[in-house]
Amino acid sequence: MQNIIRFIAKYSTFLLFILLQSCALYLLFNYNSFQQSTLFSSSNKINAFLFTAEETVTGYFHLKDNNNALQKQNIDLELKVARLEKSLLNFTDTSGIALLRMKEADEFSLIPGRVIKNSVSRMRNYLTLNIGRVDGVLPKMGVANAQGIVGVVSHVSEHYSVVIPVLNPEIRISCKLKKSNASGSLFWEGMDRRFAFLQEIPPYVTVSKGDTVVTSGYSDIFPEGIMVGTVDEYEVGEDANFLKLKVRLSTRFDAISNVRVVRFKHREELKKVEEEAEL
Amino acid sequence: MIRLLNHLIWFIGLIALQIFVLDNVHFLGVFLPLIYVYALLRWPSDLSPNLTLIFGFILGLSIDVMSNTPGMHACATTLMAVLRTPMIHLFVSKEDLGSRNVSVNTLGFGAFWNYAVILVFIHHTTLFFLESFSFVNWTLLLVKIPVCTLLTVLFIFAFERINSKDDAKS
Repeated sequence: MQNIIRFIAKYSTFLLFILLQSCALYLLFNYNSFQQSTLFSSSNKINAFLFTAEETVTGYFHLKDNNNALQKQNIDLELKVARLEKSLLNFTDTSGIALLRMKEADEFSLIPGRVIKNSVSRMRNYLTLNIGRVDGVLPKMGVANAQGIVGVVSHVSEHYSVVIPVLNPEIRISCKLKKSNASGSLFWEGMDRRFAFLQEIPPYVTVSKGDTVVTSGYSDIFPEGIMVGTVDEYEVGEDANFLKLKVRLSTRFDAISNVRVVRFKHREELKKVEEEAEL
Repeated sequence: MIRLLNHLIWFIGLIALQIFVLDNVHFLGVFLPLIYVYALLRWPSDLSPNLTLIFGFILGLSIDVMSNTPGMHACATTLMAVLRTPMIHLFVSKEDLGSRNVSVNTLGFGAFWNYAVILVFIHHTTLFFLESFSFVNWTLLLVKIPVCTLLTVLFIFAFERINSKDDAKS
């Protein structure tokens, strides 16, 4: 017995070494069974806490890369959204302007443009577009956007054109009530940018609030059926021969950016035949 | 007691440095210094060999727990701990050795570096062989052992400079 104790005392270091090494190797070769036990894996609480703390610090080092990646992704998504919005416009467009492209492609074509200068608060308002003669724009062409009519082109240079919008007393646009087909001319009195007036509607026409007003198609400026607005109020005119309707314009002129110029393909021909008739 | 506290701080500090910093730094993708062995290298030489063994085992096990490699580092450091005392006596006679920490100042420049390089080499060899039980790539292993040893020794050299300056002051 004594001998054993003496032996252990003498070789204690070696025995301890064997013991510890056995422990280590046991752990090593039973790695798979220990994976499940949380004691030796990083899922234990202390490690989780420490590595979370590490992440809060080192996470900042990757911010720049992450930022760049996000920015790139953002741009991609923005482009995608823009593309989808563009195609969605064909389906949600209530003014009927986009439908022209499909329906009457042989008769009317649309020239897309962007408003680069806009006024709404003056008595005579004007818009400037970034498209001009080069793009096929000519004076007296109609302009509309996805909400409804905008105005008529008045002056054209090589790359720019000036549009007289509905919010200018200089123009009158031939319109009609969609329900009854009674036509009149739309003009603006210069007060409120949200409303215009439809004159010369015969008094026998039944009108109710909320009726839709669209373009009549009686000119080469606008095709028939483009959204103008809805009836807001109506009253008998001064001479009692006509009704005067207050129309809530569907186009929001203070937030206008993308427009299309409507080009009537047989304009020259129409003009010519009309001139002949007048002679 | 204060001396042991000093060792404890080095123990924690080196493990933290290893786990949180150096394990994320892989030179050329595969080489990394294992600086935590320095805690065992500078462990006092006058304490009982059994205590040294246990310290070595705990040191390795701590790294294992943090890096999900049960037993691997513990095995290497335990082997290193048992070879430590004979290795010191190989280069320095017992009479010359004070009761202080093992460092360049106490062992002398040549002896300390012989001692350090050999032990680090043994440790790294053991560790990488145990590691490659699962990843057999012998050529890489043959390059990895000397390169990592070199890296570790460089780090130990830097720490030793700091420590020896502190020793000189006190």
